[in-house]
Amino acid sequence: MRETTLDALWTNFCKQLAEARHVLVRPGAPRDALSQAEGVRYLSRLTRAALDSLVESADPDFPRLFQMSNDTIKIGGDNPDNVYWNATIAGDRDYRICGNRGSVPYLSFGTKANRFALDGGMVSTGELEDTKMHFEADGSFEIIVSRTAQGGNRLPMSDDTSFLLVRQTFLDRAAERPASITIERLNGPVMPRPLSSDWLERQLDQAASFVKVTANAFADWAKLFMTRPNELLPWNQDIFQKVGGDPNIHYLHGYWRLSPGEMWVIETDVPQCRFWNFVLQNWWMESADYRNIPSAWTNINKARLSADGRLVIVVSEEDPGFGNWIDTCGHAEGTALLRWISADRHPVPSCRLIGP
Amino acid sequence: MDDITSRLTRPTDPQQADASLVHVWRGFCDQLAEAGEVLLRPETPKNALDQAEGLRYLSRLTRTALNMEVDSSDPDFPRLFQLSDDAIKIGADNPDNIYQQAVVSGDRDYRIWGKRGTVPYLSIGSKANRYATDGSMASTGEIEFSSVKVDENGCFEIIASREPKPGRDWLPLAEDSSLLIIRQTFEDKKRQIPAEIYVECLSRLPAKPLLTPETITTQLNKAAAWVKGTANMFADWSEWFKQEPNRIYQQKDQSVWYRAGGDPKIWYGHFYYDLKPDEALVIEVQPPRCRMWNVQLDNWWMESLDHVHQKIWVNSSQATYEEDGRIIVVCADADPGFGNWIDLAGHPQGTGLWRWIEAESHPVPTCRVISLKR
Repeated sequence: MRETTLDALWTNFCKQLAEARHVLVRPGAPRDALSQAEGVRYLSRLTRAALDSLVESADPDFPRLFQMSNDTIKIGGDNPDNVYWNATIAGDRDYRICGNRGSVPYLSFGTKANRFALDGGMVSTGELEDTKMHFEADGSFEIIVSRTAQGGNRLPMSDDTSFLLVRQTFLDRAAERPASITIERLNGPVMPRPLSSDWLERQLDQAASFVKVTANAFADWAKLFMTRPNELLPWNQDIFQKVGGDPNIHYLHGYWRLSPGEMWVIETDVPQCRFWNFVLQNWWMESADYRNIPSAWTNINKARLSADGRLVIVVSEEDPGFGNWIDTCGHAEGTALLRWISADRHPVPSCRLIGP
Repeated sequence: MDDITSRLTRPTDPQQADASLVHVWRGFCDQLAEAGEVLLRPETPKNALDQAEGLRYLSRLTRTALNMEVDSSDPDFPRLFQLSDDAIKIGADNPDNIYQQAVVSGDRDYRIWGKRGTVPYLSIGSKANRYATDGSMASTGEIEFSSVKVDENGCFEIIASREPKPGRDWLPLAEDSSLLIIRQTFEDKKRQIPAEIYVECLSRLPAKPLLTPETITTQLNKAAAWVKGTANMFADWSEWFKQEPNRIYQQKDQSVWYRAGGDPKIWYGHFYYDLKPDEALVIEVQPPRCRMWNVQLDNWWMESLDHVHQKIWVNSSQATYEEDGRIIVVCADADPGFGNWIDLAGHPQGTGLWRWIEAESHPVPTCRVISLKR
């Protein structure tokens, strides 16, 4: 048998992975110890997501549900009120999703095609929402994912569909049960192909590249938001939709910077909507540690509106005693995101700084 | 190595406004690259499949090390994580088990709660890392769900603490306890529902500490060292087993496996197999009275083979027995038509493990190589 050793591929992967470090000192990237330390942690989290996605979950014949982001993998303004599951699929095959509804208030399924090469970005090729689905009395359900099949719960695809996205939105994670979900390919091969070094080399290359490209893509966003500090603006919604944003969501992104003792006060009307939330993020666009810090974000369920129905959010080091306090969690600057979800209009909040 | 360590641990002034930690990520990647040497060890198989799986194994160890050291290591904010799962496989991980872990501290109290599910065996242990004193991962407390109160909704609540909690379900901690391990053993993962478990710290919580350059540097340093150390430790084991191919390895005492974190209720029969085309390894034994047994096939790296898509293991409730009660297991490329077939899944050489779980005796299964050529 031909002898081979692959240590050089590992060395090469680690070398490529190291290249991502330059994002830490891009012009505009904060150079305080906390932001730098969180930047390094962010690279470690992107590394985990990249390897899980590209090495373990990349075979559309044997789809595997994985989480591109979760409570400790935070990417591009991740949503603390959502749980996402992803799977690699292919438009020329058929799949069955089985599961149980649970009690999560919102559950939806989408298929996506990567059309970046055609300048179309990440395009939705099929959507199915819980309100359009049939569930059995015990909450169980079945969905057929297919270009051609008809009837029942059906999630469409296109020829170039390449992945599945399952979204769940919670009002109160402690009280609500997530849906349980499994996916299988129909009429596929029985067994996966043996692992090949050529394939793995490609996937490791892509993983290292993903870490670098993703970190820089969202650093570009932060740089853009820095041009209008301490505001929340619609910018060009196409930017956010192109990378796989949810068409039901209107995104108001911003960059904030506070001197010691300063407060960032955000005021707005609240439209008729299915849901809204406001999340404070670090410069890398990671949500703060919402699992352990209750005041890291607020939403339609947590927030208190003023007597006239307006929403007041106060971003500061310490609770000022008015409005809905959001903790800066030790940061002096960062990014922020307000989402209006399935809303009848999209008010732009008025923002101001209050001095110490 | 000295150079890298000094680079990794260079202190940074937290007040400094022009910090740059590019050297920390660079140092981590450099140190991680060193783990690749395990692919070159003289005894490491140099065939394409074992090498490719070894490369993937390093990527898996990297993922789990980062998850553990960077994002799950604060005992004030315990986070349940899985060190191994269907795509992270370490040290002959058990296809019938789900293991979860959480980093804790012996001077704090914890609440563990959730839903029981229908998994037949569920237990929680607390452990102290005493490698420095007696070289062991010592058990400091155990609680089994046969003795835990489960309400009509299937919910339970356990307190983990040093002081006993009369009237409550209690998991003892010692001063130096540092880890909780939740073990779930299934007869059939497809049919039985896993327990759903949560952990929180009850002691008055300090504010969530800010991440410092020193902390992330130490965490990454530990993660890279763990990848290298773990890969080499189990490569050592495979090299031991290979000294006696095609039989259960008996040159080491069971205490070796326990010191590495093995379950004291289990007897471990590791083996290395080496088969030519059309050969099969036949394992036979008269089982003792026991709670459970299973046998699995692993690759050179001691990763369980793909048990999601292939039948690479069998356990006491799945197996068919001979009329006299004996077990015959046949490790082969295809079903030989007798005994319990388990699939080599394209691996003519590899390792494997027989477990007797809570058994009254520990007979060593006999192994022989047969030809299946027609």
